[in-house]
Amino acid sequence: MIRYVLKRLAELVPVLWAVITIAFFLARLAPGGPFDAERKAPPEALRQIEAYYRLDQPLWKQYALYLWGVARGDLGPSFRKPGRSVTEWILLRLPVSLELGAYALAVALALGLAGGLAAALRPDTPLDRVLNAGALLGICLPSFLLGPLLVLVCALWLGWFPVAGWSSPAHKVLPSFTLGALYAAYLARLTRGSMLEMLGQDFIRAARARGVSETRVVLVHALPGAMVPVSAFLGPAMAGLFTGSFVVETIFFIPGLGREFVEAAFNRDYTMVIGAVIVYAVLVALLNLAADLVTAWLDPRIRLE
Amino acid sequence: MRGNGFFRQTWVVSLVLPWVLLGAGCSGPPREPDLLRVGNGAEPAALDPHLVSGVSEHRVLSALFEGLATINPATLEPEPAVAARWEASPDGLVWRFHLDPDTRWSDGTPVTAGDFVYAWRRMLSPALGSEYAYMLHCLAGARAFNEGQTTDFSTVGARALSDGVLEVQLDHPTPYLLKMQSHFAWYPVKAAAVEAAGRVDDRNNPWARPGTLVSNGPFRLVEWQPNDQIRLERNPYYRRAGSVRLPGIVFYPVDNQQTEERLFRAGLLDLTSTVPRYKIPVYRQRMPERLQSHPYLGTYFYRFNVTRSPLNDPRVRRALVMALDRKELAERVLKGGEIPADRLVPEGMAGYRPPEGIPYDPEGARQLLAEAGYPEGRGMRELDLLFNTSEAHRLIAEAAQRMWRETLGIRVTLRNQDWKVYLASMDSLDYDIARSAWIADVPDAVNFLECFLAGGGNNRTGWSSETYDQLIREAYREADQDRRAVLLARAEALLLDEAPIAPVYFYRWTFLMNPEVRGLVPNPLGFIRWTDLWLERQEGGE
Repeated sequence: MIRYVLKRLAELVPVLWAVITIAFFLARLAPGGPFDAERKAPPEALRQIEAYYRLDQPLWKQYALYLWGVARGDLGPSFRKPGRSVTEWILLRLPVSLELGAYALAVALALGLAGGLAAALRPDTPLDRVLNAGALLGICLPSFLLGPLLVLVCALWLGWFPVAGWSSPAHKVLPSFTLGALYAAYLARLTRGSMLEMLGQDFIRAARARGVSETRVVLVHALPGAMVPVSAFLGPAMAGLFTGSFVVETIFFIPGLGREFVEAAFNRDYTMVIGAVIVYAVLVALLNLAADLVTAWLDPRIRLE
Repeated sequence: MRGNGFFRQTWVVSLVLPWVLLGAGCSGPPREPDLLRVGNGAEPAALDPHLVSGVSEHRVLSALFEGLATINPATLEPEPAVAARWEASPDGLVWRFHLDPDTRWSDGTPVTAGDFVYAWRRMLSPALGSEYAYMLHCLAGARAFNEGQTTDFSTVGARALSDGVLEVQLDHPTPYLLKMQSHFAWYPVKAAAVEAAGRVDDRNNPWARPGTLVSNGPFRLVEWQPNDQIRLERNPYYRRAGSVRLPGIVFYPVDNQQTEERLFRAGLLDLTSTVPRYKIPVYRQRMPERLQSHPYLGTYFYRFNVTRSPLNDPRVRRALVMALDRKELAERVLKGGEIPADRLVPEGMAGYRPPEGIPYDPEGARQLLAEAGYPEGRGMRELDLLFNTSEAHRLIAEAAQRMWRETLGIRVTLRNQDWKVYLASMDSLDYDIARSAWIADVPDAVNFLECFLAGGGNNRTGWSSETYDQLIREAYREADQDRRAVLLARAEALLLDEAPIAPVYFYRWTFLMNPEVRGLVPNPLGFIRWTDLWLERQEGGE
C-alpha cells in the first residue's frame, strides 16, 4: 500500500516536468506578450522591463532558468502584478478555491447521494421521475446560467442571500450550490443506477429473506458496493471542484485561483499561468490517487500494485 | 412502503446538510453605512504609483496620494494641492513650487521638495522600466536620463531649493504641466518607506502594501485583499484632514460588469466603474437618478493600414470615413448616448479650436472612390476589419460593414481576436482596418495628436507626414497658448485630410451612482476628487 503510494508519487515528477514544459512553450507560442498594451510603453521602458524579467534572453535559457527555479520551489515573480511572487499569489488564492470546492462537494454529495438513493428506493414512481428530471436539469443548466438565475431569485427577489462576495457564511451558499449542482446531478444518476443494480443482486434478496431490516439492507449491505463507481467518479470530479471555477468565481466575485488563472492567461502573465497549471496538475494527480485508494478500500476485488 | 422511512431521512438530510455545513445563518454582509463602496473594475496590478498604468489603479492612488496640484473637476483648471502656490518664468520653462507647510506623510513626517525629486528620479530610473515615465519627459534632461544616456540626475530639471521649495526646469513649454500633477506619474513617494522594503529601482519591491505604504493623500491604506477589496481610511495627517468628509473608501475589483450591476442593485455598491450596455435603457427608464452619463475625453476610431493597397490611397480612406454614418451608429446601434465623431480630438480641450471634421457624405464618398479608380467598389479587393472580442465592437463592426457595402460596394470581412493577439496584429500591421480608441491622459489636444507622429508606438497605421511631425514639434516649443492651439488644429486638419483613421464616436463616462453619494462633479476626465464626496445615508437604508 505504502509502496504503491510512493510509486504513484514518484510518477508525478516526470508528469510535472512534461506539464511545465508544455505549458511554458504553449504560453510563449501565443501571440502578444505581458507588456503589450493599448497605450504602448516607450521602447526603452519595454527593453528595461524585458531585461528585468529575462525575456530578452534566448528561450531555451529562460526555460532552463525557470525549471531551475521550480526545482528550488520558486515560481518566479508575476509579470503583470509587480510586488508579489507567483507563490504568494497562489497561497492567497488557492485556499479560497479549495474552500469553495469543499462546500460544492458537500452540496454535490448531500444532494446527489440522497437524491440518487431516494430515486433508487422508489423506482418508477412519480418521485423517481421528478428526481430524474431534476438531475437532467442540473446536468443541462450551465453554471453561467444557473448562477445569475439563483442570484436573481434568491438574492435580488427574495433577499435570502447576498448577491456576490465571499465574506460571511451566507455569501457562500449560492456559489457552492451553483458549482455543486452539476456534480450533484451526475452523482444522483450514478448513485441511482448502481444502487438499483445492487438491490437486484442475489445477496440482497438473501439478506431480506433472512429478515434483515430494510434500513440495514440499504445502508450496510447495498450501499458500500453501490459507492464503488461513485468514488471512481469523485476523483476527477473533486479535481474539477477544487481547482476553482472561473465562471462561478466571476459571477459571485470570489477571490479564487480560477479567476486569477484566466486573467493571467489573457494578460500573458507567463509565470502566473504556469504556476497555476502546476498547482492544477498536482491537485489532479493527488485527488486521483486518493480516489483510487478509496475505491480499493470499498471494493476488495481491486488490487493496488 | 418499502424504504419510506429511509427515504424521508435521506431527503431531509439532503435538504438540510449543505446549509448546516455552510453554517448558514444569513448573517449578511457587514453593514458599513459610513464607508463609500466603489466598484473599481480590474484588480489593480500594484499600488506603487511608479509601476501602474490603468484606470482602476488611478482611482485608488488618487485617494492615497496627492501631487503638487489637483484639477478642479468643474472647471478642469489646476488648483493648489501639495504646492500652496507657484510661479513660472516668462518663457514658461522654469517653475517654482512652494509647498504647503502642513503637508505630511501618513506616518506624520513632513513632505519635502526632496521627496518629489526622489520620486521623479525613481520614476525615471531606467532599471525600474516604468511605462509612464515618458510623462516626465517634459522635464529638462529627463529623457536622456530615462533612456540611460546619463546616470547623473543633476542633469535633470528637478531641484529642491529647500525643504519647502521645488524648482522645475522644463525641456519645452508644457501648458498642461499643472494639470498633469494630479496624475500618479508625478506623485511623491517617501524614500525611507520604499527603501525599507527593498531596492529603490526593483520592480518587485513590495513596499506598496498595507503596513509599509506611506502616502500623503486624503486617505491611507488599511487593507488590501487582492481580488476582494482595498480598504482606505481617512488620513489623520492629511494637510486638510478636517475637510475630508468620507471616513473611508472600499474599492471592490469587480471586473465583471453584470456582477457589478447586481451588487449595485442589491445596494452593496455606491459607485460602479461602468454599466452593462443593455442595462442603460432600463436604468434610463426606471431609475434615471441612478444612471450617470457624461461626455468623456476619449475617442473610438478605426485605424487604416496605409502600407497596404488600396488603403495607401488617401481618397479611398476618406471615402470609407465619409460613408460611415456615425450618427446612426451612435443613436441606433450603441444607444448609450455616445456622441458621433467627425474628428479625433474630443470637445472640451482647453483653448483648442478643432478643425472641420469629416462629414457623413455618401455621395461625396462614392465620387472619391470613383476618382481613386474603384467606381462603386469595382476592382476593390475584400478588406478585413479587425477588432478585439467584445459585443459592442462586433455591433459597430457589423454596422460599418453594412454601410460600406451599401454605400460604396466594398466588401469587408470581420475578424475578431483575443485582446493580446489583436494588439500583436495591430503592432505588426497585420490588418486592413482595426478598431481602436484613445482616452486622454491629460486634457490637452496634443495628447491625442502626438500618437500619430512618424514611427511612434501608438501610431500603428504606418502613416507618417513630415509636415504633421513638424507642426507637432513646433507646438511643443510654442509658449504662446493661442499660437500653439492653432498649430495643433492645423496638425489635426492634416490628419483628417489624409485620414489614416476613421473617427467613430466620442466616449461617455457612464456609471451607476447611489443618490446618497453627494458632491461628485462629473467631468470629461472621469476624474473623481475623493475629497469632494460625502454620503447622506437614508434612514434605514444601507
